Formats: sequence, C-alpha cells, structure tokens
Amino acid sequence: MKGSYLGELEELVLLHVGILYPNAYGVAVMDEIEKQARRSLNISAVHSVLTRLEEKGLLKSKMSDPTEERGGRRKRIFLLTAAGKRSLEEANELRNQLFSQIPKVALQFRLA
Amino acid sequence: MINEKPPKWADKFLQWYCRPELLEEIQGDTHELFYRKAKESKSKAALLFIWNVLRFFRWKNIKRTKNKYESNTSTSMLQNFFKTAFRNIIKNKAYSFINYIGLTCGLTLALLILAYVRNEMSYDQFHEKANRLYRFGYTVSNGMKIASTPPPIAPALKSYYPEVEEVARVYPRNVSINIPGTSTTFEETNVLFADSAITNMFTFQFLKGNSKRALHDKFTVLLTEKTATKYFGDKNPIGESLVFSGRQSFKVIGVVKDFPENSHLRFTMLVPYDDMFDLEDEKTEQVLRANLAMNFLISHSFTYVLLKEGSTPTHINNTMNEFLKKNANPNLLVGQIFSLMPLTDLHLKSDYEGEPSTTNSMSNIYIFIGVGILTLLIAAINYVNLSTAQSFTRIKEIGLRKILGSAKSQLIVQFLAESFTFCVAAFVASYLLFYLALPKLNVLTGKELVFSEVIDFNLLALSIGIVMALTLLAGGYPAYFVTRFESVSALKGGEQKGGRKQLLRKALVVFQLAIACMLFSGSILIVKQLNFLETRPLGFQKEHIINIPLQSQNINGYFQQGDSTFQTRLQSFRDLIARQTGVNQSTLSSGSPGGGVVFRGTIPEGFTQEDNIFAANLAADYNFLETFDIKVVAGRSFSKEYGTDAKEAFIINETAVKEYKWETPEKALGKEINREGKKGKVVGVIQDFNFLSLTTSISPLLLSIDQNQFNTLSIRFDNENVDATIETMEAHWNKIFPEKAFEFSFLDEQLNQQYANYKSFGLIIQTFAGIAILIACLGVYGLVLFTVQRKVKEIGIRKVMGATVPEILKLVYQDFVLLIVLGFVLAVPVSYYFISQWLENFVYRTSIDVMTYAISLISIVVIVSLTISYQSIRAALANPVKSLRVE
Repeated sequence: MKGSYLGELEELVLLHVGILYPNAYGVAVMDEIEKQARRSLNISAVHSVLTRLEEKGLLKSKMSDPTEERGGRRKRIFLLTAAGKRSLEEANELRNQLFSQIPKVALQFRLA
Repeated sequence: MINEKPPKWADKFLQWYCRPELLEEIQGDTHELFYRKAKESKSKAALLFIWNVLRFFRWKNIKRTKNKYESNTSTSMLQNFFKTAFRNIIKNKAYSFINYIGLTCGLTLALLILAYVRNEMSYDQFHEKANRLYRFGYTVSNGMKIASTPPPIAPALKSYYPEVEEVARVYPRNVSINIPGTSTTFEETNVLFADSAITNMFTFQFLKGNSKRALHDKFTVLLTEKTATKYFGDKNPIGESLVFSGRQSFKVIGVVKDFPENSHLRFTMLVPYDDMFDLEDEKTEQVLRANLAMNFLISHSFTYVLLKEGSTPTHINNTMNEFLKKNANPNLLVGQIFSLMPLTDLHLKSDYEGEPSTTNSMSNIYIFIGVGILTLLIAAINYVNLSTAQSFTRIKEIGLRKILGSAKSQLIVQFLAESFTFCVAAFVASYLLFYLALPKLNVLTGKELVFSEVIDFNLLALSIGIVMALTLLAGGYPAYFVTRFESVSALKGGEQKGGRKQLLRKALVVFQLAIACMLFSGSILIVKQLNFLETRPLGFQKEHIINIPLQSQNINGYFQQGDSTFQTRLQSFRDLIARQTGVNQSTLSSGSPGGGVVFRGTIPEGFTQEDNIFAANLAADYNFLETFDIKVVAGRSFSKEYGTDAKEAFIINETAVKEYKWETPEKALGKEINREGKKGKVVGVIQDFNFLSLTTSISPLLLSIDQNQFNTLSIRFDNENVDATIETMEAHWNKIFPEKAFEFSFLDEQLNQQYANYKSFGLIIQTFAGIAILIACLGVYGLVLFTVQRKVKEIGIRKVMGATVPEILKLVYQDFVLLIVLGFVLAVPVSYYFISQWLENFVYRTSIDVMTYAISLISIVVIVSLTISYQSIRAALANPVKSLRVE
C-alpha cells in the first residue's frame, strides 16, 4: 500500500467522485472538474489519478452497463470507500484547523 | 446514429499497447470524448482522439507479460507443465528411455570432446607473456623443417632487432645424475640447459630460492617440485649438490613449480646453457664450443624470442636473410630459412620435426568438434522424431487443453518445459558419465585431466548454453507441431494433416543415417590404414628383436667419444649373450630402424657443396644388416676383413643410388661420398627399407661405422622361451653393468608406438561412430514405432483383405531401406573427402575401396533392419480384429 498522503489533485478528484455519486467515471469527473474548479485536465491524467486512488484503497470501482454513447462499451464507475471518505474528512478537518490558527491580523490586508 | 469513426490507426495503436483489462474503459472514454467533439468538428475530434491515445500511452497502461489481474504463465501453470512432463515420461517408459539414453550419450560425448578440445587449445597459455612469445622454426635448404635452430642466432639477435626484448636458447637432454655420497644414479630426462633470459620470458613460479640469480651462475641448478621430491624427499634441497655425468657437481639454488601438463616444453631441471659443455671431456668441449658458437647450419637448441609490446614477427621473418649475411660465415649460407612461430600455436599448428612434445593438428581438433556437434545433432533429431511421433498419442490432451482455453504460447511453453526437463535430467546424468569416463579419455589421449579442474565456470556456462540450445532445438519443433493440431478434429481423434511433416521426419532420419554411415565407413578405413601400417613389410626384420639403450643421449649423439672401458665391458656382455641359447645375433647402431637417423650434410660424387644435400645417416656396426635381415643388392656388407671399413666405408640404399644419379647399384660401388668431412667410398647398396615411420617416404640413407655414435644394442633372438631368454640376458647384464638397470623394448612394439597418436585418434572416432550409430538406431526405432502406430488400421484392413505377413513387412521395410540408401548416398562423398584428407598424413596408405563402403552399407542395413524388426513383425502378426476395433 502506497503512503496515505493525499496530493492536491488527488483530493480534487476524490471530492468530485463523491460529488458525482453514483455516476463518477473518467469523462464525467473530467467535465465536472472543469466546470467546478475551472481546471482543464487531460482524460489520461484523470484516469491515472483514479487508478492511483483505487490502488491506495480510497476508491473502488465496478463496471457499468454498456452504453450506446461509448460504442457499446461499459464505463468504470468509481465509488468512495470508507477509507476514501475518512481521508477526505481528515483533509478537510486539517485544513479548517490550520485555517483557524492563522492570526486574524495576518488576514487583514492593508492597501497602502 | 453516429456516423463518424475515430481514426482507425490510432484506435488500433491503442488496442495494441493497452493492457486488456484497462482497454474497455480507456477506449470508452476516448471514444466518448471523440463523439462529443465530433458534433462540433470532425477534424478537431480526430486530433483530440489521437492526442488522448498518445497521452494514455504510459507505463501504467502498457501491456506486459505479467499483471495482477490475469497471468498467462503463472507458476502453478508451470508446475502443471512439469507435472504432465513427468507423467508423460513415466507413462511412455520405452520412448522416454530411448530418448534419455540417446540424449545422455550425446551430451557425455560432447562434454568429453569439449574437455579434450579445450585442453588442446590451451597449450602454453599459462605464460603471462604468452602473446608476445615466439619460437624460431628452421627450414633446412632441402625443405626439411626442424624445430631446433643453430645456437649462434640467439646472442646476435637482440642487438640486431630493436623489437626483440629477450631471446633465449633451450636445449633439453638426458643426463645421468648422482646424489653425492650415495650409489643412486638416475637417468634424468628433459634436463633443460637454458639461457638466463628465459626466466624473464616464461612464467616460472619459484617455490624456494631466489629468482634473480636463477641460471646466472655456473654450476647451479633449479629443480622442479617433482624432481626435488625425487632426489631429496621432504628435505630442503637448497644448497644441496648433484653430480652430473659423473663429472661436475651442481648446487641446487631453487625449486620451481612443474610446468602444467598443457605446456609444449616440459623439464625436470634447469641448468645454465653454457654448462652443457662442461659435462664433456676437454677435447669434446673445445670442439663443441667452437662449433656451436659459429655454426649457422646445425640444428641444435630451441630458440625462443620475446618481442616488445606491439611488435609483430613479420619484420624479423622477412629480414632474417640480411641478419644471417651480417653474422654468419658466407660458406654457411646455403639458403636456410628461419621464421618465428607464436608460442601458443606450436602445439596445434607446428609442422616442424623434432618438437619437444607430441603435437596435434587443427584438423584433428576440427574433426572432434564436428563429430561432437554431429552426435549432439543426432541426439536432438531423435528427440524431435520421437516426440512428434509420440505427440499423436497426445492429440486428445492437446485438444482438450485448447478447448479449455489454452493459448498457443502456453502449449509451446508446455512442450519446451518438457524438453527442458528432459535435457536437464540428461545433463545431470551426462555429468556423472563424464566423471566416470574421464579416466578412459585420459588413457586414450595420454592426458592428465582432472574432473575438478575440468569443471570450471566456462564449461558450466557452455553446458547451460548447450542445454538451452537443445531445449529450443528439440522442444521447438514438437511444440510448433502440436500447436497446429485442429482442436476439434483432435478431440474426435481424426487424422491430422501431416504429409509434409512426415517428409521432414524422414529427412531427419536420412540425415542421421548419413552421419552414421559416414562415421562407420570412416572408422573402418582408419582401422584398415592402421592395420596396413602395422603389417606392411618394412624391408627389415622387426619381430624377435629387443633394443637396449646404452648411454645417456648426448648432444645430438654427434660428438660422443668412445669410452674404452665401457666398450670392453659392452663387448664382454655381447660375448656372454652370444653364447646363450636362444640368442641369434646382436649389433650396435645409433638407433635401430624406425628411428634414430640424423640428417647430415653430404656431398656425393658428382655434386658440390653448393648442392646442399642432406642425407639420413645411421651409424651401424658390422653385422647390422644381418641382424635386421636387410638385403644387399650390390657390393657387400661391412666386414672386419677390410680394415678400412671402420674409417671410410659407406653403405647406401637404392633410393640414394637413384637420387645421386649413379644409374645402377653396381655402378654406385666405389663412388666417393664426403659427409661433413668424413670421406669414404660406397662398398654396398642395400634394398630400401623404412628407416623412419610410414608417414614419411624413403629418402637416401647412408650407413657407416661410427663407433662413437653407437647408443643402441639390438639383440635378435629365437621365438622360443622368450621370457627365459630375456631373463638370462638380464642376469648377464646385471653382472657386467651393476650400476645401470637393464632396460629394453621390443622393436615391433617400438615401431607400433610411432602410430600411437593415430591409433588413439582411430579409437576415439570408432567410439564416436559406435555411439552415433546407437543413437541413430534409437531414432529409427522411434520412427518405426510411429509408422506402425499410424498404420495399425491400414495393416488391419490389408490383413482382412488377405495380405500375407511378408507383404506387410515389405510395406514397413521398403521405406526404411530407401532412407538408408539415400543416407548412404549422401554420406559417401563426404566421408571420402575427409578420409582422403586424413590419409594425406601418410606416405604409405591403404586404398579407399568399394568394399569398405559395401561393408558399411550392408552393416547399417542389417543393424537398422534388426532395430525395426521387432515392431514391424509385431504389427504384421497382430490380430486385425484388435487393431480394427481400436478407436
């Protein structure tokens, strides 16, 4: 098992898999990221992040029914695992916690 | 519906590289994106598609042999392959046994040949400077090539040629050596008198003593480890002394390791070169010194040269003439040629006479390698034939495997695994056999190969290579063969298409039989030639004669002075045995017929010094001709009645008469001959006899009475009570020469010894031939088994229709006879070529006759017929009801 450290892109993809439940597959995730985060990714990049997350045990996958739009091919639908959900929560929590520790002063920008 | 399709080639490319388990989703994603984009623009969609396909081309997505989802060749599958291989071997005991024996024999032979050839090729490689070491070869003006050279070359060479780093002379001879204070005297062979530079050229390993002063100081000696133990046991030999020739004491200053067995030069002791003169009496010493210092004609010592790094011998070889002109007396320049030969080539490539050890030839090495490869090939062919034949019994297994989803590659792996199992097993057995056979090989070849030394990394690596090659060769075709079975018809048990394969199998058998025929006829001819050599009349009596060596071999036997007390003692011994019953005659010579002649400069009447005639010379006593039964054609034998015979009489052979253009033997009588200063007249002409081995033709021969050169006493005796006769002789000898052991050898055995090399060669080829024929027979057996199996129903039906047993036998046999004849026809020209090449070694040779080939053809036909008879007769006698019922 690779280290449980979650990269920025990984976190992004993981979040979107959660958002798209139960229809998260390669192209859908790519589109959603573009729409929500305004980041244009190549499908292969999304793909490799998805498989990496699956290897880390944060996602699981199953094959969907064949669809006409893909020439009768099936999609690989990704789902969050319990570990995936937990790691999202942890990341979120950590971020909030850290954010809350920033002194108020530091956040006040002066324009002068 | 969607009309546009993504670019085909890109899609194909994706399918080609992508891992199958990822293909569906990746292809799906890319296609989905394509169709979406295609709604806007077709060309942009295509570009996007290509781009995506390229982006997916990453390590993660690329196919590889193993993956976690599905494994083509999992270990469990391999285990299963080996298991079925093992079960198959057990199930078909006869097949497996035949195969195993064949393969093991082939491999053992290959190993033996490998060990032998590697040893032969490794001669003199152990010297650290081996690649820069050369030795002079001497081509005398009459064309004779001699390994030893005139000694004055060496001292002048270094200053004349800047590329020469070191040069050294080496002269091996026998010396009688006595340990002072004891009565023990050894006749030491191979005592090396050498220039001190030799220690900078050859690699000597000093065990005791200082290498710096080695061979520098007069009367010092270096011993080899073996010699040191022989003389001094466990005692430290340094500082001890040894007496040489009863004349001069030598101090031991060091012990060196014996040269390994694969050295062309062997020695027991090393002594400074100059000291050899001190072993002679004063008069001889002076003559010798004067002669050897300036004589550029006499072949005497071996001259070794170490060239500087990066130099080649070409310049020296081309300019030796100028060197000689500068250094030698013009009288002595008679067109002699000196050329350098690489030290490491001496053993296999030298064609010079008088090499310090027996040489071998590259052609022999090639023959051995060729035979080894052929034998291995026969064994491999056997495997192929037997396994393809056997695979018909496995059609159902293969069919089932295919139906259950076995891929072609898996079947191939399965068959390779089987042949690998087989080859490895055969190899293990062949190493065992190799271990057992190595002493036999040593006997056959006179080598001292030790199993633990022969088995080194290279041999093991080579063995593994051979196993791999055999696995591929022997397993590859059967694997290819079975994978082409049609699975459905295989399960139905139907006939397989196989006309051409049958042809290939037949071709392989023809090839095997051709090799067997070749080796068979070859070995018959070798035996024939050896018999021919042993039984050919040589022109003299060779049975019932023993030779007794009389004294230490002196410098070329030339300058020996008669020792009067020795002569009297010898005479009394001869008188004693002359009176003994059973003894016929005795005579003295410088070497009995078959060896011992020395080629010396000769000027026959009608010729001059410039003609440079060298003739074979043999010193012979008065009754030499009578003892050896050599016929006189004209004139007379030496006789004591003519007082001048001892000083100025020559007897020549018929060839000499012809060569010297003296027309007839009668006319030759009275002609004058000047041999290196000794002037005399021809008193008799004798019939030609083979005074050298039959590998050389008869050349002119001069006999003369030169008492000081006699070193062999030959005694002819009656053929009755030989043992008793010799025992009495020994008793007489011990009475008169108590200090010297009674050594003797039978002349006929001595003569046959000349052909020992050829004999062992013949024996090796015969062994190979035997094994090759055995393996070929195994192959034929396998093929007949196959044929009979395939023809079970045909035979059954024929029998039902009324065919008789002989008719059915004919059906099986005619194929094979045809194959043999075909193989034979192929074999004859090849064998003829090689055998005639081999016979070139001999001047006197047997003819390659039709009989030999007829015999080998008939023998092979008989052997093969016997091999196939069991199976074919069984098939012919089988009850047709049984064979027809088989389904």
